[in-house]
Amino acid sequence: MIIGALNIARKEWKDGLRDRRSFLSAVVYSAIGPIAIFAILNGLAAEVNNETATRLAVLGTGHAPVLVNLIENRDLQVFEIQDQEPIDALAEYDAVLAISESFADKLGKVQQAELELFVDRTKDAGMKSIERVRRAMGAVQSRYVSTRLISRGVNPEIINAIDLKVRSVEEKSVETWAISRLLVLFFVMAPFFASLSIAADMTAGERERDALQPLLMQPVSRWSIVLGKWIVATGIGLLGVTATILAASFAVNASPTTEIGILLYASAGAQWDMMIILAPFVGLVVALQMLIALIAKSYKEAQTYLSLLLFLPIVVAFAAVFKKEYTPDVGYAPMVHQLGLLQRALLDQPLDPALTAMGAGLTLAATGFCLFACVKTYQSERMLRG
Amino acid sequence: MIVCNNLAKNFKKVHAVSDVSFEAEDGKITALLGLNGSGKSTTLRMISGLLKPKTGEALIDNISPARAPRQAQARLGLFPDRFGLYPHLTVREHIDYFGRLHGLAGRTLTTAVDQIAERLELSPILNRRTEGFSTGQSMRTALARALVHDPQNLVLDEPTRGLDVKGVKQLRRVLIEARDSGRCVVFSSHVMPEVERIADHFVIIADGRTVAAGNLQEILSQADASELEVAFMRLSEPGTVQTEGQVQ
Repeated sequence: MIIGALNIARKEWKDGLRDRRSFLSAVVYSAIGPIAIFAILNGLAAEVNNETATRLAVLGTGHAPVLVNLIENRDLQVFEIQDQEPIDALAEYDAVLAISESFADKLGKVQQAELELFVDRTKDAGMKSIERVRRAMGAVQSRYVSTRLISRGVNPEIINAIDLKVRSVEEKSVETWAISRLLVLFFVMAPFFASLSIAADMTAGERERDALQPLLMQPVSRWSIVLGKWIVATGIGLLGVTATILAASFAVNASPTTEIGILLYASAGAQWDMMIILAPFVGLVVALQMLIALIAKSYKEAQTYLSLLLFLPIVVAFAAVFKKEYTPDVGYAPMVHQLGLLQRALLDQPLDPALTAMGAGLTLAATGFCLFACVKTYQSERMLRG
Repeated sequence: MIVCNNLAKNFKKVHAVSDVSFEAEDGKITALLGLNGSGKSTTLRMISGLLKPKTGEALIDNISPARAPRQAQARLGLFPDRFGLYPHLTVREHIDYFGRLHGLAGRTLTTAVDQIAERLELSPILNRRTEGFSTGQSMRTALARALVHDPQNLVLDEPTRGLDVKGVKQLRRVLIEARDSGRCVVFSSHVMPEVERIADHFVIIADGRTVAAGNLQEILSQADASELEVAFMRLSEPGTVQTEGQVQ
């Protein structure tokens, strides 16, 4: 059986490497994905770096000079304007604050003094300015209130019944978790893309070209046929996954992640761990792809079915793993297991050998089941029908 | 030697083969004749171990392909009704692949590939990929694939289909060489002049049953005809009265 499988594998390897579709599907994902990651991370960093202060135009600064001094900070740059309609001023500034003539008077009489903030909420800068002005006004408000209470001999702390102090305990930022989730999904999808074309071609494609019948007429066991094809498709899948891990790790490491608060560094150890986690999974994906493609009568039909299979990791990721609050939930079921462990590896957490072995064992068992089903399909006389 | 005893096969409610029996001896070319859908290809697929008969059995040198498919297939050189070549592989790689599947390796395999390539005049295109091959080139590649392990029994399903005169001539030469070297050759065909020219033994199948078997004289005598084509039509469709010279 082994020699037969190797003979089949030898032919499939040669055939697969010469098939442009198989080659492209193995290579393109590993090339395009990391470029996308690099672009996303650098885009985020650029956005953070380019964060500019809100340009706030103030109309009637003379009515409240102290207020204007108090609200100016790192995020708010204040500009004095005069004799200009607020709406017209919005063409030049992010927001316009209008101070009425009665402002100082009302403040002096300990009445509620009104201010008007003009913004265009269809613009990002406009939305941002509301939050920033509110925050600045909050600080000014506290100051005015404290002053009023002190002038009446009241301790200002009595109005603060509760003092909520937020202390962050997470080791990684929210952004780190979010990006690591994205990367984990990206890695898990790699084998689905890398081996899609070759799995479809060596099964449904062979049948479509009428090459299956001559093969089944030869003195070679169905197990040899299935194993030979599986070995090659898994090999190509592993090459694609390796290239994806290396390229994506390079993209992450080369991106200015720390500038955006993302603490990810795909070290050589993490890359090795990811390979160990994904290797058995690649075999399962290929076996599943072969089984599905064997149902199809043509390459295109198989390609359609296998394209639909691409949704599986996305559904599993969001339904079984990512629903947990920032905790990689490592179960033993194939794919759930790999998703959880990959996230741990990316976050530089050590792998538990027993847990890893148990998950890999279950994945291999599922692979064996799929291969057995492939053999049964090849034994079926239905395979000879057009 | 290939023997079929009361072979029957049905696909759900369709009876593809009801009762086919014949003997194809070594050193003879046996032709399986039948109209489209008569059960020839299904019979050949049962001989090649692709399909299991519902009843009856086929024997390849006394080995049943239904019970021991790999042993039976090792004694067969099979030429299916469609060439089924791999477009990215060269002719040499095709022959080499199928030789390996039959257990050939090393120098034995290399010699076998070179010999069959020379015999089928494939040497000039031996290292060319089969994509875009003519029907004749594809036929010769498929035939080389079937002969590389020098099988005792050769089974061909409609081998002359789509071939030009040169291709038919080459095929005829190979089949005659195989017969003369003591091999058992079984093939199915529609081309009566070609069949009459090279076959030693004739098996006529109609509606999944063997309706006549024997040498040319025996077939003609059984049908009371002087031409094989007329005899074939009379035996295949007994309800249709065919007189000499009326066959179209």
